[in-house]
Amino acid sequence: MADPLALSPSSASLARDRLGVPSVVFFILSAVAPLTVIGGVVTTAYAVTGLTDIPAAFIAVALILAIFSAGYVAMARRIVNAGAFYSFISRGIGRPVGVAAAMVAVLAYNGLQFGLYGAFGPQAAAYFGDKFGWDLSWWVYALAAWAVTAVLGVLAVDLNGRVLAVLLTAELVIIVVLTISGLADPAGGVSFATLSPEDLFTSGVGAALVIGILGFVGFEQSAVFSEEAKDARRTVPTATYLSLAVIGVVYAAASWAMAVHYGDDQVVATAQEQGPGTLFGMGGQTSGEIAQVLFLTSLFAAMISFHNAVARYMFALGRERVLPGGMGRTYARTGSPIVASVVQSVFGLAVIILYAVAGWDPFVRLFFWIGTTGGFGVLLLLAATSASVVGFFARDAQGENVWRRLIAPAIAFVALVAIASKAVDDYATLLGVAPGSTESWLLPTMYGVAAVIGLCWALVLRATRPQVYAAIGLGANAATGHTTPLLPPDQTGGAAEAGVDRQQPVG
Amino acid sequence: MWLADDLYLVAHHDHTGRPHLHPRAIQLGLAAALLGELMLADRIAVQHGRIYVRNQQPPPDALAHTILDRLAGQQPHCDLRTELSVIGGSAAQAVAHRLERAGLVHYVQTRRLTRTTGRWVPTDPTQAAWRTARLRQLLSSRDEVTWHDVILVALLSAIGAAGRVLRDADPQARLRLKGILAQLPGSVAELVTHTEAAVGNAILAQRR
Repeated sequence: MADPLALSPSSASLARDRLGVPSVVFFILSAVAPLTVIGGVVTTAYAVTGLTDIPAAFIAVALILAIFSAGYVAMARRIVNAGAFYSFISRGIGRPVGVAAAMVAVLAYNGLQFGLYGAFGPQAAAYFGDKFGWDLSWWVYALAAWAVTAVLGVLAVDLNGRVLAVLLTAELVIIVVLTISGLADPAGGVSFATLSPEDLFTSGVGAALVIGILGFVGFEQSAVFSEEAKDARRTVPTATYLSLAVIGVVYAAASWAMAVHYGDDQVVATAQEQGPGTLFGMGGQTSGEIAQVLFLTSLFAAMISFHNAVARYMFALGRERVLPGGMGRTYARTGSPIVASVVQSVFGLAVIILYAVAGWDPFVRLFFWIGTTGGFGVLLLLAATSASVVGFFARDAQGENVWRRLIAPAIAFVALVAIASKAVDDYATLLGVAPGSTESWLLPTMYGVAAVIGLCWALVLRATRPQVYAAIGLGANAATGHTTPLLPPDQTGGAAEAGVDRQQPVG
Repeated sequence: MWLADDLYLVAHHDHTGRPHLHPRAIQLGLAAALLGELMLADRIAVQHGRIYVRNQQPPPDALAHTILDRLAGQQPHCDLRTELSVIGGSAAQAVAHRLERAGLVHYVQTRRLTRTTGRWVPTDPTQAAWRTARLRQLLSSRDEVTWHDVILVALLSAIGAAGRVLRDADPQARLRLKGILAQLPGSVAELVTHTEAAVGNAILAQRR
């Protein structure tokens, strides 16, 4: 037998399973879950907000995020635990703000995960009611999906990469088919009004842009791959820009096609009446049915991936001892972050029960309200992260040019803060409620409360447990106290456990 | 009795040979234990995340010899985390072969529907179970612990296997383990914390 430990240089043996641009693009696209966004978010956005400038908002957000990414991916190569915004913020602005951001992130990503139950339940109930005549409540399906997610989370089962690849490809194909058939059958001439940026500045722009951001949530995962990419300098930026372009074009085209197909003045009414059916109805019978099934699988895949993402986020905070250390515990047999996973599931169960008992509409009040509120939280994190990029490189430029370390993140920061403040003004429009109603101030205020709690907790840690305080933002590496990847990114690309346990779906 | 052999036997079922832990955690633990063997033999030291070869005199064990050669070839920039990952990739097999040569495990093939799989099964389950029992007893007692055992329990706890060792042990044992972990000397402490961090990162990277 050949000696497995023969003297191959480490960098070469690690490079074998490194990721190229197509793989990273695939991972980003599947984290974004395009059909969930177009079938669920876009249709509900038309219905709830009554805004018709959603297509223009997607293009605007894609451009802002492209500018944001210039500094983001540059910084991602230089810090550990790059998967989490609070790591950037801890290093760039300071640990107290970092902990505040961590609390905001836990709240936002949990919200995004809860929202998916609110979409899957009613959609599954409608589908199975239609096909088999089953007359079951939405929460029965939501609980079934919850149970499967909870079990898979504890067993550390992620959906197989190849299955996800097939589903994602099918999703994209069906979106393109429906978009084309929608455009081919306009309600009355093809109007470009919904794509026009002018329209964006009229009313409810904050609401439209938050929806735009919500659609792109998941793209931030690109930073995770900076330790595993073939060429950290080129692969991740190229893949990030490519993904943003693909997502931006697909979203804008599909949502524009809805407006064209039903008419700019009718799309809101249609969406209020048909919900996700607005998308499915743009093509023929067959493509509509396929889209319906894929919408369910897309929601389900998103549920599992968000559950695992939230669990790992809380796990990393547990390993840092920022959240209770128990959160950092794993189930030895499967290596799952069991405590964090169970905690997330318990929250999810509580939310489903709350909505079922209160009789609140799951699609609007859970999927859309809580989901968009999650998107708003991500918006706040993006803004803080832009500032942290400027702060990080202000101390040491580390060979980055002025665009990546200063100009781009500064533009992104100003734009994102402007969107966030406009969004607070437009929150009632976003939720489709009367201005000044409780929900419209309560939901965004929760982030303020979470941030204050985080700030105070960071100060307590600084005073009482300086070792924990020093390691904030390091995630699983907190034990070692290293704030930078152990090797310069140009050598072997840093951390070593990259590339293990991966099912590589592409290439 | 080698460090990695002990860790292997504690981490696998004494009768069936199935892993008690996630495979990646075992791999990283075994890699760290193999490095620990070289530390015990005073061949290497770890500082600031790097492995330094102190003495290139060939160790008596063939596997340790191979690894020492490998580390010597990487000097002076031998990154601990990279080595944990690379050695981890083949550690389970390498250690199982060493156990096989010592007659402690043997390879058993099982046929599934379409393919043949196999695993190493302890030849003497009592012998295998004794490795865990010995540690439990040691932690419960006031007996002196050797450096071998200090590194072993610290690595087991870093890969999440402390619960197995402490199962049904009295509360004193948990306190003793805590005490041991709090007083690890420099090189060992670095090896242990990096192993723990690598296992944590592997869990965070499992999304794919």
